Amino acid sequence: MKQVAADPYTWPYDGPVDPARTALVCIDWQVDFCGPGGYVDAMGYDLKLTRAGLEPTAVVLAAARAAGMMVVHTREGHLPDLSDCPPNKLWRSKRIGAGIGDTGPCGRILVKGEPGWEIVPEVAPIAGEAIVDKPGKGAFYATNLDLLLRVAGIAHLIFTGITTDVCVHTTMREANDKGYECLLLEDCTGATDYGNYLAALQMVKMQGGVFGAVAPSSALLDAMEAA
Amino acid sequence: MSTSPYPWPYGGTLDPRRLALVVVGAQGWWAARTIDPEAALGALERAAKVVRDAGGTVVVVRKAGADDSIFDPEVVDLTVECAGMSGFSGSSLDLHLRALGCDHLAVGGLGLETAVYSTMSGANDRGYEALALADAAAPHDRAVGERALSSITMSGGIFGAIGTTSDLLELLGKEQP
Repeated sequence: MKQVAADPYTWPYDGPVDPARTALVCIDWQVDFCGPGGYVDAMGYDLKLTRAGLEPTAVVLAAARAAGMMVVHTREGHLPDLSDCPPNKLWRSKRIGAGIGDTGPCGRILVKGEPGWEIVPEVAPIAGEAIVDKPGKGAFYATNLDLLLRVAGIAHLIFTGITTDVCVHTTMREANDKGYECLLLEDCTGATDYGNYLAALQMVKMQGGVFGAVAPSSALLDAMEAA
Repeated sequence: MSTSPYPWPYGGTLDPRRLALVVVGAQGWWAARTIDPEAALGALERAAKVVRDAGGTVVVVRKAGADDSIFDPEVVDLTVECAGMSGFSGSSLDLHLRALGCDHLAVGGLGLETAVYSTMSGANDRGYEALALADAAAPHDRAVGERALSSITMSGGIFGAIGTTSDLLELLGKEQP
């Protein structure tokens, strides 16, 4: 393995990709965010935008598994009684016509255990992979993600997932604040607005890589294939 | 009220005693890397006086390691240190706000796409009802900053709402001083 040709710097900053110290973090590839009848669909956004990264993410997942890299999947969702859903979040969702806990074509929106809450089959977890359930946008808040990564000796994180400007950014920013070295795969993510997706990529790269670096998945695969 | 995408705050009324004005990024690193930081800080300092007079709390969050706050200390009730871009990272901000009974936050400062955005998303996950002050949040890049504001308003207000210091003062029953 070698370093990844990323922007604004060759990633990671401290040498070649080390599969033993690197985790692939797949954020919220759930039906609610990229499947027909889910939460994002109910709000009227174009699912093509949030589904765009599925195929390249499946390829990266296979490569990470083959390399023995730790894989973490995250899911956003609430307890069936919504006792872990802040009232303002609930209010906003109802106001836009996609109320958390309301019944839709994929079951109750953003509720644990419902069909809409499941990860889509293209990038579904396999046995032995970590799954982190989170009540909010960031995967470090009110979860054991930091502990899982530290116990596994992980210092570097590679991100795929949706949506770029919300759950991916919040999690990547939390990770960066905690000292993890982060890479976002630009073709393995998407947002509900294409311009906001592009800006979110730009935000990572500002000021010399204020939240880490960005690369196409092909650059990661090249680095992983290198002898 | 012209806050977007909904009239902030969500409950309809604002109790000023439950409001904290949270100032982030008011330090040299951000001042050197943002557009017109003086305008943002000026708007925040004017708003800070009104928030205080109304019974609210003014909190400055300072990145640890550099004792170079450029926010007028005369209008600051509390200074908290943090360890990252988000005011909630490695800081006592959450604890302080809970102890003060402040569950409504107006967030501004330097670095709309960095410190302000991270603090808005951190606040939202913790259940705070947050308003990003667009005229008091200096961007690193104007176009990217506009997108950061747009992202906040997606999905019915994914991290809360956006508005201006004038909107906030109107809510507090005051005209811009």
